[in-house]
This record gives sequence, structure tokens and C-alpha cells, in this order.
Amino acid sequence: MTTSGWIFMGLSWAVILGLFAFSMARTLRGGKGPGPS
Amino acid sequence: MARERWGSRFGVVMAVAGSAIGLGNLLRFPGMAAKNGGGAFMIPYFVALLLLGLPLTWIEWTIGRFGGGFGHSTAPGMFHTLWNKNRFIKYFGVIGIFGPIVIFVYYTYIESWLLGYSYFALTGQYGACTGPEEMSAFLNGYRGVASNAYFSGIGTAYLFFAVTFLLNIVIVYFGIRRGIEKVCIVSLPLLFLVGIVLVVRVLTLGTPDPAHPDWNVTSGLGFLWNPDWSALASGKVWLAAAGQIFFTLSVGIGVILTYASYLTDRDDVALSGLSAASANELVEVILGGTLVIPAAFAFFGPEETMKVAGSVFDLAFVTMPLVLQKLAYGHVFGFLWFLLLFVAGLTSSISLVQPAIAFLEDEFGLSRRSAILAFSAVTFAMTQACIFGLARGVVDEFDFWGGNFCLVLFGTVEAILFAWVFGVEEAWTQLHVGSDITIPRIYRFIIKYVTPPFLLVILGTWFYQEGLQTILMRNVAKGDFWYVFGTRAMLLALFVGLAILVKILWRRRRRQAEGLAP
Repeated sequence: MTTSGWIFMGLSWAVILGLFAFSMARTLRGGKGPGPS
Repeated sequence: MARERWGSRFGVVMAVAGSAIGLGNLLRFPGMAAKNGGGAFMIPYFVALLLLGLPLTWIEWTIGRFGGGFGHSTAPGMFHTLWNKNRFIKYFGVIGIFGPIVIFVYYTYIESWLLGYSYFALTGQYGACTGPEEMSAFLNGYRGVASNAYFSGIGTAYLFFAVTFLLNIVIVYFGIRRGIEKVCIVSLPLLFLVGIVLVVRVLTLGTPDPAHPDWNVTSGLGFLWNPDWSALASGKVWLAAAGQIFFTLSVGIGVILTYASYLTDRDDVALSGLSAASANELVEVILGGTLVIPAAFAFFGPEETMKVAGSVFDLAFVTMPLVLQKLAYGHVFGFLWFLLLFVAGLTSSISLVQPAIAFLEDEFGLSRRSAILAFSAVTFAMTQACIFGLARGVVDEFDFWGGNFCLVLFGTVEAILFAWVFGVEEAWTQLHVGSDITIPRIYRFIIKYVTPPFLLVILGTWFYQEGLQTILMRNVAKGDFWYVFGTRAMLLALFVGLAILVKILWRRRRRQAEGLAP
């Protein structure tokens, strides 16, 4: 794999993992869940 | 009758992510990326995610919750709520029930192959197949496309189909909270776990064949990720990326609308939508991008890998079983591979059942048992056409109308309806009701001025490149004409039947409003 290949893979992974970590952490931490029926 | 609600926010996020995560994440994405510029493909891919995928996700979550506030669980009622001056928009919303039913019919059959192959992997049933030809013959024998030494009939496939169909129906019978949510809360983490185990195994493959030192996993990753900058000048690559984003996020089907209808104004949709989309991307880019292509490259080299890269079925049922059975404990890894795909398929297929059930139960007032029975009878009968007409292009026809045509059309119209008819001011307000994050204001502009034209371009191009050919039956073999024609007639009858139900429902509501009916 070329250096640019590693860079693309690394950047893509970083963006996705960052987005996932941010959103799931906020989701799991968020106080209010769906309201009662 | 009180409508059901989700038990937890994590549950609804897992359910929507489970709906989106399917075979396309693990099989379609890597082949698409490898064929369209490798690493450079990720530039149009991320652009499409930002301008098309995320806005559409938020649009559907918001429409779903908004419509749910008026007691609607499906698109006909929701679209009518958004544009109540238009008498016909509710009939357009029928696509949001029709599409999931059509996809469910053929998807469940394909999903059942994965269950069958999980069993075959454990029992070593395809162990005698040492090359792509034998493995393809095994698959064709199993599906009843050819009678050969491996299978003399379709009985085994039918048995696994019956089990898969029943499993889907039983899960949905238990409802949103006790059925779908519970299954997704367990299945999605299991899917991540199995995926990680397989990724670790693939990344430690090294150079399996010393005779071909260039065929190794690092070169396999390079095959997928090394950027080909010239691809960025091709409009087809940008459209391929936009199409992949559109199809991977489960938008344009009607499922997210139904799932979000079980939320209230106190529940967030902005963050939940983002979470579900990011979970889908994690499976697609990280797991999907690390499994099949690098593994196939390490064992079969660049030419063979490029040949199978565009075929989801070849990658799943021919290439990967051949690769995995060459490893120590190959039957275990083979089982894990098909289990991974089966779980991804199951969490998608149960989501496809819910819009029709919700329509019959919440809007038509049927009991869940009656709704499930009606749905099962219709879809089971329709699946027979897929099982016995597989070699005659019946499944392709189902996929075209349910999995392509309806999706693109529905997604385009709902984006225009939301941003232009409902109005971006009100849309923005609704999106942020109960929200735990503030979406950047640039998305007001994107939702109104970028996403709808982007979708119109995709719709137009897709229609020109593929749609028209198929609609006019130009690619249908002479001997298959009546099979395809019959399938089309069956789908039309289903659509008309659903439209009539919507008409009856509205007439009943009008009479109730006028005090003429109980």
C-alpha cells in the first residue's frame, strides 16, 4: 500500500470513528430517553 | 388504543442502525470503492454523506416523529399531515408501505441462504469445493438453479427460508419494544464483535501463498485504499458514491419514518439520527473495507479480486467461503462470516415488516395478530415467485421496483415535500424540538437548496442509465418475458390494493369527523 493509501485509510477511519464516538457517547450519556407510552 | 413507544434511546438508535446495516455495507461498499478510485472514492463518498445522507436521515427522523404526533405510523398519513391541502399526496405515501413489503419478500429469501450457509460452514458441507467453479455450482444447486451433485432439489433452501421467515414474523409479533428493540440491542453489539474478530483474522493473514509474495493483506488494503486521482474527474464516480450513501443509510424506504413515529416531542431526533448513521458508517467503512477485498486479494490476487469485486453474491457465497476454509479453524471462521451477514440481514428484514404492520394496526385498527397474519399470508405467497422464479429474473424485478425505483423516487419527493412544501423554517424548528445537539445552520441551506437538487440529479441519471432500460424490459431474455411481466402485474396489484386501503381509511376518517360513523 502506498503512503497516500495509508493516509486515506487513516483519515477515513479517524473521521468515522470520531463521529461514532462523539454521537454514541452523547447518546448513551443523554439523560432523557424516549417518553413513556 | 395507545401507540407503542421505544424503551430507550439506545434501543431506537440500534434499531435504525440495524435497519441500515445490511449486506451492502459489508459487500457492496468495498467492491464499489475498489472499482471507483480506491481511496479517492472516499472524497465523493464523504461529500455525499454530508450533503445527501445526513440531511435525508434528519428529514426522515423529523417527518416520522412529526407524523407520529398526529397518530400516523406510515407515509400516507405523514405526507398528508405535511401537505393537507393536497388530496393525492397520501397515495404517493403508499410507496412507504409498498417498498418495504417488496424488499422484504426477496430479501428474506436471500437472508435464508446466509442461515443455510452458517450451518453448512459448521458441518463442513461445502468443504469439498476447492475452487470458484465448484463453489458457484454448490450455490446454484442450493438455490435450485441447477440440479447437481451437491443438491438434487430446492428442499434444503426452502427449509431454511421457512425458518428465516418465521423468525422475522415472531420477532415483529412481539412488538416494537419487546421484539424489534430487544433483538437489535443484542444483535448489533454481537455483529460488531463478530466483525472485529474477522477483521483481526484478515489483518493477520500475512502472505498466505509464498509463490505469490505480492499477494498479501497489505497489498490487499492498497488495492482498496490507494487513491486513483483520475477517478475524481469522472461524474460516474461521484454518482456511484452518492448512490452508495443513499442506499446504505436505509433512507427512502419508509422504515425510519415508522420507527421515528414511536418517538414523542420530548425525544431527540438530531443526535439519534447522527448516531444511527455513524454506526452504519463504522460497519461499512471500517469493517466492510477491511474484510472481503483484502482477504480475496491475499488469496486470489488482483485480477480475480477485480473480477468478483462487483458481485455481492460471488463475494459472499463463493470468494469468502473459499478464503476462510483455507485457514486453521476455517469452519469456525466460515460460520462467523455467515452469522455476521445473517445478523446484518435479520435486523434489516424485521424493520421492513414494521411499516405494513403499523399501517394495519395503528391506522386501520387491526389487532397485531390479524395484521401479522395478513402480512404473512401476502408476503409468503409472493416469496414463492422469488424462490421458484429466481433463474427467470423475478428477484431482479422485485429488486428493481422495491429496492431501487421506489427508494430514489420516494427519497426525492419527501426531501422536496419537507424543505419546500412543509417549509424549511418549520422543518428546522421540528428537527430541533427535544434535540440534544444543535445542527450547524448551514444545513438549513443544504436541506433546502442542495439535497433536493442532488437527489433530482441522482434520480434523473439513474433513470436514464438503468431505469428506462428495465422499465421497457429491454434486458429481459425472451424466455423470461412472461415471468417478468407476471411479477410486474403482481407488484401493481399490491400497490393498487394498498392505495385502495388508504382510500377506505380516509373515507372512514371523513365519516367519523362528520359524525356519520362510530
